[in-house]
Amino acid sequence: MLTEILLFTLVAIVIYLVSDRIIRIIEGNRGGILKNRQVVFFAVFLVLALVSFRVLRTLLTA
Amino acid sequence: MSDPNFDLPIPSAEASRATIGWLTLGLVSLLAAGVFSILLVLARTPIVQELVPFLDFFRVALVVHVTLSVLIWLLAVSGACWSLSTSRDRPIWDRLSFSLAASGTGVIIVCPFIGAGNPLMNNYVPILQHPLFYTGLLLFAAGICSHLVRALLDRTRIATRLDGTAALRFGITLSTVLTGLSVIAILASWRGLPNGMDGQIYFEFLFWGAGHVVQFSYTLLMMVAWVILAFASGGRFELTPRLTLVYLIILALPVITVPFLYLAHEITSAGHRIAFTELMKYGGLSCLPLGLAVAASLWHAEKPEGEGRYLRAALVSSLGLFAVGGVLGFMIAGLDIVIPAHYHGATVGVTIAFMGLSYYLLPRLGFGALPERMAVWQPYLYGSGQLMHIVGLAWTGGYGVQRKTAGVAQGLEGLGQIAGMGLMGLGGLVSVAGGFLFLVVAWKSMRGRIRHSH
Repeated sequence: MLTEILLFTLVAIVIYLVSDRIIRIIEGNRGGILKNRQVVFFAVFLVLALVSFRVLRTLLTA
Repeated sequence: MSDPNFDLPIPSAEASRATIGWLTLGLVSLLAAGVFSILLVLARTPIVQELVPFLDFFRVALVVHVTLSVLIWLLAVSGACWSLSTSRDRPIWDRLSFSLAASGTGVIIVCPFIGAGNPLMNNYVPILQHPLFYTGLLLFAAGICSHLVRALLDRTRIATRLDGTAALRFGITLSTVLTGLSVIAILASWRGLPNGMDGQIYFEFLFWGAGHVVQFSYTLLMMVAWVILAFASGGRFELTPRLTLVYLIILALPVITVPFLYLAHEITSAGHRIAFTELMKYGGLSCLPLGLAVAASLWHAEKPEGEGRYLRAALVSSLGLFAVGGVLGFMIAGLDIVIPAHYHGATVGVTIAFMGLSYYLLPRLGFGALPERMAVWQPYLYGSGQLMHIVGLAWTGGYGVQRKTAGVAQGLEGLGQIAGMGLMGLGGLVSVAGGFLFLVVAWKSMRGRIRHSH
């Protein structure tokens, strides 16, 4: 249980940082800051979290 | 003579950034909670509940809904308030705290879709027994604790000449102390729990003391919000800053007893449970002096104009709901659904005050003007829906329907019970509409942002 919690925590932090990076890349390409930056950030984070944790769960149960 | 200007200005650009972050986190958690609440209301409404086999998902959705709409929303707005009461900028620390809390919230939202189940319906922080849910909770708690320590270290000191703003900031600092105490209470409970205990009973005892203590922090911030809303909406709030500060201290005073309650009773004893229930029941009355002063400020108050209209609407709705919830608290007898009627009233009272505070803050944080008509209607719509919901719960509770049940498990028999639960369901749907309207108002304001913070 503790190992899983640690693993999930690490993945969550990585997802957070990746989401931040993605938002910065989008903003770099657009040449300006997104109007609803934090809301877009949460959308990206949630999608990445959903996909990553599903994959992780499959790997852990395999 | 002290300056009675009960305003909450934004101290710096960095504080503005941090406040926006915490406020957005609160809004995101409410949005997600709203989605889960639609499923909850359908699962408890007569006729609809018979059409769909909701029971299993009801409990999982209830856990996530409560975690998002109570724990995360209230602590996120608390975090926004703490950011407004700091005396120096620490951007890296602020970013770290927010990142931890935000990632924790995200993890909790996605939990049910990854297969997290095994819900435990314990009070205050219901649990999904899954490592991912624990991860989300721990990350969020780490973010809040980090922000709490930062806010306490950099609190605004009281100057000799006390003005309204300083009194409000003192109230906010008091709330950080109370939230900190609730964290210590969790640790004390954890240490006092016997080895081998697990499941619902474990988490019930773990969060019982802390859950009660943190309510005082929310109530304190609600009072701060009430004073701001009363003052900004043209209410005749006539207390001096010094007396306001004294009343805020009085509100927090009952919490002084908490260490003694922990020393006097075993964590797993009936005495521990009863002591904290009594603390809440009678200690909660400490909000009366300031609450009555705010209510009195509405007497012969001028008709509000501009932003005052929606700030007054939020204040009136919050006062009304909190008062109903408080009265119902004294009517609890047993484990029927008068209990959720009581805490819905109290919690929604706090929530509407925080919604009003958000309306107050958004334009001051650089966002656009709020859609006035919509913002005036929203607290009334949300408040009246919640009132119907509460009346339905209390009415059915009078017939002895048990809490935290759905579908046939509710055992609805007589017309009175079915009508009561029908009213509850309808009220729930109206309040969900009111909740979504709040998000629409906030969204419209945020879309109209007039200056960038990044």
